[in-house]
Amino acid sequence: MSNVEIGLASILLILVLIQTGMHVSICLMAVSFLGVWLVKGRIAVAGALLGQAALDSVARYSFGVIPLFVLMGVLVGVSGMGRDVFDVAGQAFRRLRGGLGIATVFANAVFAAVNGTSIASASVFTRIAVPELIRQGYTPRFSVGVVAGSSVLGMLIPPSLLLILFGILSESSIGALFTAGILPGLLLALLYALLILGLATFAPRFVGRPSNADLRIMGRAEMATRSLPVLALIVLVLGGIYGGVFTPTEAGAVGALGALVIALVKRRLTARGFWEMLVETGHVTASITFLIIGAHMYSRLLALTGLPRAMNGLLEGLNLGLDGVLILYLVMIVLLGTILDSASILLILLPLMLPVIETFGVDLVWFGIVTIIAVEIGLLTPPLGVACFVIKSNLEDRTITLGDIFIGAAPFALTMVLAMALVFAFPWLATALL
Amino acid sequence: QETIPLTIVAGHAPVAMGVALLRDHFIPEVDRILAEQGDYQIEWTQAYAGSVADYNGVLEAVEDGIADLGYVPHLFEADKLPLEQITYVTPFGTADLPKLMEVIERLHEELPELDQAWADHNQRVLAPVGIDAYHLLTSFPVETLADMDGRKIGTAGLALNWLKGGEAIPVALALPTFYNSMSTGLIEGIVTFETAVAPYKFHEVAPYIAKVNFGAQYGSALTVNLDVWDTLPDPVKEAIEAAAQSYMDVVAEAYYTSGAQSLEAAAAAGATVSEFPDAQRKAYAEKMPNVAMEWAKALDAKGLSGTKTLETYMRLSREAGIEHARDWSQE
Amino acid sequence: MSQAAGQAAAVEESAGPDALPPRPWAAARWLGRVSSALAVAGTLGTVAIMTIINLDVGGRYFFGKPFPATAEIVSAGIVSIVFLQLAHAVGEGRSIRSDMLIGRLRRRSPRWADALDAVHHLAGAAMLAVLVRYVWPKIVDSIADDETVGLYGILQLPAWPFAVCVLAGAVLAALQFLLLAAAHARAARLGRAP
Ligand code: NA
Ligand code: NA
Repeated sequence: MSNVEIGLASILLILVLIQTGMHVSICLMAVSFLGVWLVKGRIAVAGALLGQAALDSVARYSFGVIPLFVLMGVLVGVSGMGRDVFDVAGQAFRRLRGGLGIATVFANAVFAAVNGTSIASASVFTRIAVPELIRQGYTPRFSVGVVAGSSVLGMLIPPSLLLILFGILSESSIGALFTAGILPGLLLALLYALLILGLATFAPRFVGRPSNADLRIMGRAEMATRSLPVLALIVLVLGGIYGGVFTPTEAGAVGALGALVIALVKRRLTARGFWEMLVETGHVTASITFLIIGAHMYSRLLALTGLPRAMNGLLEGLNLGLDGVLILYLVMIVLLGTILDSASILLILLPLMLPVIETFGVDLVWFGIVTIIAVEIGLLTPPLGVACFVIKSNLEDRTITLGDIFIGAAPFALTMVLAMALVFAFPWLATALL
Repeated sequence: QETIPLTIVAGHAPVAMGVALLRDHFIPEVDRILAEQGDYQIEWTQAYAGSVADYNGVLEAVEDGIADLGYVPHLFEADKLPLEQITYVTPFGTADLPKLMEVIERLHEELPELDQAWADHNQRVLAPVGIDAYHLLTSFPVETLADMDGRKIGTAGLALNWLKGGEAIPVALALPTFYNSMSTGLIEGIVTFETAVAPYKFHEVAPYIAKVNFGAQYGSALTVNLDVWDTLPDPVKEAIEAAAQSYMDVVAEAYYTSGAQSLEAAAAAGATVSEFPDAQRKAYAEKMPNVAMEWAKALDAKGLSGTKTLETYMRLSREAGIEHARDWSQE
Repeated sequence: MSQAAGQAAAVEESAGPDALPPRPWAAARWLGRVSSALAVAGTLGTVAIMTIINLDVGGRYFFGKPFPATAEIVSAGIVSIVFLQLAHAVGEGRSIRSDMLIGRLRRRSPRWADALDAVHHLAGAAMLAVLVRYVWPKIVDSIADDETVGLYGILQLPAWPFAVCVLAGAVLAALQFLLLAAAHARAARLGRAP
């Protein structure tokens, strides 16, 4: 078998093993180990690669704050803050069909402005939104789907760890990338809202038959009071980032501490409750981060097989125009997104793609935004959809299966394809604010 | 004709010139030489940008045989390659990178313990790689050392040590976050190398560029796994060595000239580029604790040749006509 | 469907692929205790990271005194924290996996589902054993070489405690996988107690 063939075979093997219910991280590790052994011909090299990836692939500041973003999410839930903002948004959108779904998207867009990863968005809103959506009569599938779909706003609306990574790899301005992410982020939120309206009207079996008849009507004053703690947290995080007090990465720690203080002030936290929360944070962190480690091992195998370069050579050989190259590139990202995590896709594809793209004189900031949307679709697609995994590991209701989450997220993934096409066709969506 | 597979790995993306020139100069050069002879050809697997090993994992990847050749930024390996940190503990040297690299080559010839440290990690250096001079970029004009008092200055890694002794507040950040941190006001200045200025558009947020000249630095190396090296046929070894030699010269020249171009581009875009007065530079160096001596003594205590390396390096620099703003080998 | 049947179905479903058959063994109890202890250490690590970053941010903003080498310590710390908490997460069945096939299989033939589960958990134990085997020499090296975490000249901590946490977590996670494999194999052989 040639190295490229080993690469292709490894993809098939992963698809099969994940379907049989093997732990995803173990499956990625095992296939990487066997693959490197075959490519390099020595078991010691395969073992060394595993050991090294385990020790250094997540040893970064931006990964170090993942548990803190998770902790902030748990705290926002426990302290009742999430419930409050969610209730207020629910009030604001209550006259619309699917109003609470739209409220989830809206609240997620707000939260996206205080955090840099979709992982955080997914874990926070699984706790806040899913139980209430189900209580109001939305189907479990729709409830987890809307949370999965809107979690991707966390990476598109600045601050965003993925845009930072793109900026590093492409040597383009991170500040410009952040600004360019705003309009597409809002566009996606708007498309989601329209999607939910449409689904609630035309596909009630998918959405459920929600009733908010028992919803108490709040006065303006109450809405304001209940929004206050979350607004305070947003002001703390956003004000801190844009006021030059801390970086978007550090915001995880400050936000977690801020949420802790608010929870204590609201007297919602017992010592025992605090402890249980930390243990829960540990479970989520360990399972998600160990998965990311596995994905890194696998992306290292792929790079060693030379498969990405071979695909790239194929692309160049086809002699397509710019649009043809870009469309194939985006399709490739979406396909890779089914089996790799977001950061790995960027690490593998960008160094190969950038030289090709640069010969066409493409605006890198626009290219970056389209790339990120394409990469983020992968968060929602099986078998390896990180956002869906995060939701699964945060769900208190164990009866909702991973399959339910993927099915629920599907309409949102399709909507992302539409958003990607729109930004592709109308570059000003990304560049207008620059 | 025999085909030999080789994997070459870098943690940095090819936006770093040292990596780009592996792809665009070193590899084509090896291929060209071998093609002329016609007996061997290399089947390259190129894995850059951390796709096989992170920038601080390349040394280990070459050691373990995951990579056959690697672009090792040894400035992140102070524990394993302590002696190679020499230029970072002796700042305020020359901005002339090609000349610095000659001194580094001679240092390696005189002190075999430098190469031994690499051999202990199962590899040998094919080409040392340096980086152009570091300067100070700020949002306010800087003419004297005192202008920096109480200001938050961001920089990465070992360069933090150069902010010791002054009244500036050192802030540790990664290079790609400098721009954002400047624009939000988290920091008020940056210490970084010339080549990075224009591509990262640092002059947009830090338009005052004082050429403090902390000096060009020796921070990376192209290396090869020793087990692999021993199995390579002689003509291939010779081709690789010849290509590495010319790669080393081309990289040094490329960083040096594009550093100057980077500052010119910044100036053309409206940045104020100023010389930092010699007297102020000297005062800055004198005000610092003697980081070189501290470094050398700590290594001596571990049984390594810290002082010997420091003294040899300062002597070789003088012989090459390089003047440091302070003689770091004197108390 | 009667209410009781509905509840039974819910229980069956919620007993996802990782839900354990009864574990009568003393080894299981001890493993549980040690895993909990490591998870506690990992949790304290998370609190420490939060504290250090806030000290860094506050110190820098209010007093012009940042906490030294924060990024380096946090970067090294996250790896230790993940591995410390891994065994407990594995034991609680929190590892991420697809439950489509196995869930369907469990409804039709619980014993075959347990057999498949035993195989999967055995694979988990094997891969973690491989990891331990190859991480071990790196950790011995890092102790022998006096490797450090932090930044030269700024703040340096010894690297071995970080490395030992990784190793301990991986060993324990391997044992947890092994124990779960044994429990599932037992259930496949004897069937689950009602
Ligand atoms: Na965000
Ligand atoms: Na996916």
